[in-house]
Amino acid sequence: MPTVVRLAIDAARCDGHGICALRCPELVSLDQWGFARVEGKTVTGRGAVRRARRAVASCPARALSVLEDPIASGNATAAPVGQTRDRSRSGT
Amino acid sequence: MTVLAESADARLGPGRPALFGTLGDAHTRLLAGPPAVEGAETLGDHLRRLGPLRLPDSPADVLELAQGGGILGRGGGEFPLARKLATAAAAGGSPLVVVNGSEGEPASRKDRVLLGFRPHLVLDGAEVAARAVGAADVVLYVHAGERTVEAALDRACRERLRSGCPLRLRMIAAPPAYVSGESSAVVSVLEGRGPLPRRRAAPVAASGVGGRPTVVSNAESLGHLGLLARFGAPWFAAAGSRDAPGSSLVTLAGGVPCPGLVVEVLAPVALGAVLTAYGADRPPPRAVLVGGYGGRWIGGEAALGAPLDRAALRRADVGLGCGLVAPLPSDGCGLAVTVRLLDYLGTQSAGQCGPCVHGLPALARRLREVVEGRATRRDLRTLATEAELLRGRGDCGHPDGAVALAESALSVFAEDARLHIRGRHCGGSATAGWFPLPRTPGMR
Repeated sequence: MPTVVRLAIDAARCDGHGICALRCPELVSLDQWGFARVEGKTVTGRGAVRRARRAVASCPARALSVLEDPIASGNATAAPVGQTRDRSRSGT
Repeated sequence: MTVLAESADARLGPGRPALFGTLGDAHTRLLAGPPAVEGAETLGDHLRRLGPLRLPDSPADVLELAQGGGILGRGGGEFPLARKLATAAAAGGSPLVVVNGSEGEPASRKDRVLLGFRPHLVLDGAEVAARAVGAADVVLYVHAGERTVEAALDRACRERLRSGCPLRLRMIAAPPAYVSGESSAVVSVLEGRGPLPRRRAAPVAASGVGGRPTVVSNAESLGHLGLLARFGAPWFAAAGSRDAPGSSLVTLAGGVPCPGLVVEVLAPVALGAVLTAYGADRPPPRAVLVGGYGGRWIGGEAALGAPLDRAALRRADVGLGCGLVAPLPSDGCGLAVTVRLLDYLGTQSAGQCGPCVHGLPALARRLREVVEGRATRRDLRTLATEAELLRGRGDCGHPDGAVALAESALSVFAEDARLHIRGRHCGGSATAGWFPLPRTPGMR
């Protein structure tokens, strides 16, 4: 089965570098202040999934993560892949 | 079961089907007991009135008792209290119960009234919650500077400790900020930082203060839990509705003769009936703000007929939230009032998420341009689009509340907006009615 992913953003980390929107324009747009706005939809297909992962990897603030839809991807035990949120870091 | 219900009614007052009431009214639940002039009810009076709180020995049975009630959180999030308890109980470790009395909504008074006049109801609930999850620590998290509430709780805690309460009770001041009561912000304060809400990988009930399972529950929710533990689920469910059992506290604000009055609603009565009962009938309001400053305006007629019931309101896409019911006074301009509230919500951003930091002031600025007749129809459409684009963009629900307020104002006061744009100010005031804004420094 094809891999199905979506992006998630930790809004408090986003500093508006904007690189993500260049890497994955179908899932990320920038608002009028330059902060990333993530589409809630999922994407599939090699190219799209690769672009989503590149957006995550390109974020200097580590604000993005890619979540794999385990059921649609046919792998019900899959954990979120890519960066996961670091619980110990909070505050600004 | 009916026996339970009857005995509860006998102790709480005559079982007549009165639908709402205020502090001291015998037919209410949370507010029954001595009138306001007598101040906080003492432990002795509390026990004489309601009888002792007897809980099952096993924590699992206490949890089951709590689950039977179906209490929805009364702080605004409407999260089922029993689910928090179950999560914390399952997480193991050394759980902590936080009585959330931060009440950061500027016009809300219900938690202050409950904690200040019926502290032992809330402490009963905290005891039940602590027993259900196996906690030895209870933190009373109370809006900073509320002397009467602090004094009432201080005395109530002493009374309980003297009577052998095994819990460690501690009172901590909640910073007087709008977001202070959000559960992750509560954890942040208890960990020694400011009230900074954060999206968390695990719910605070599983991993909160210092990694300990932390049950953060609104004071009113715990008040209900205390009564539920005494009188049982069937009695509890006799008030409220099937999907939102139990009574609800609401605070009247805006254009009412008695701003800040806290009313307990026992059945899904029409909002208009409650307003009329407390003197706000002439003329009927053009709109009512429901749920808090991050709530929604509802047009007059629809609002007056709307049932004061969390489930019914949620179905209509309106939250009862913290229970604020604030009609627009006849001399008020709904748009101008909304600008004031948006300005305030903007200052209350915790400053962590860009869309909130920039978006809320922008929303207020654009709506102010409309009010001052400096906007075009196109600007109005831009405003609506920008509001929509802000939704869900923060780590907490703060920007979403501001968006709900702005969007509902644009829809309910659409006709006024067109007048303002054409340079014909509706003539209403921005400061009419009781929409208090605390003079607290912004978070940033």
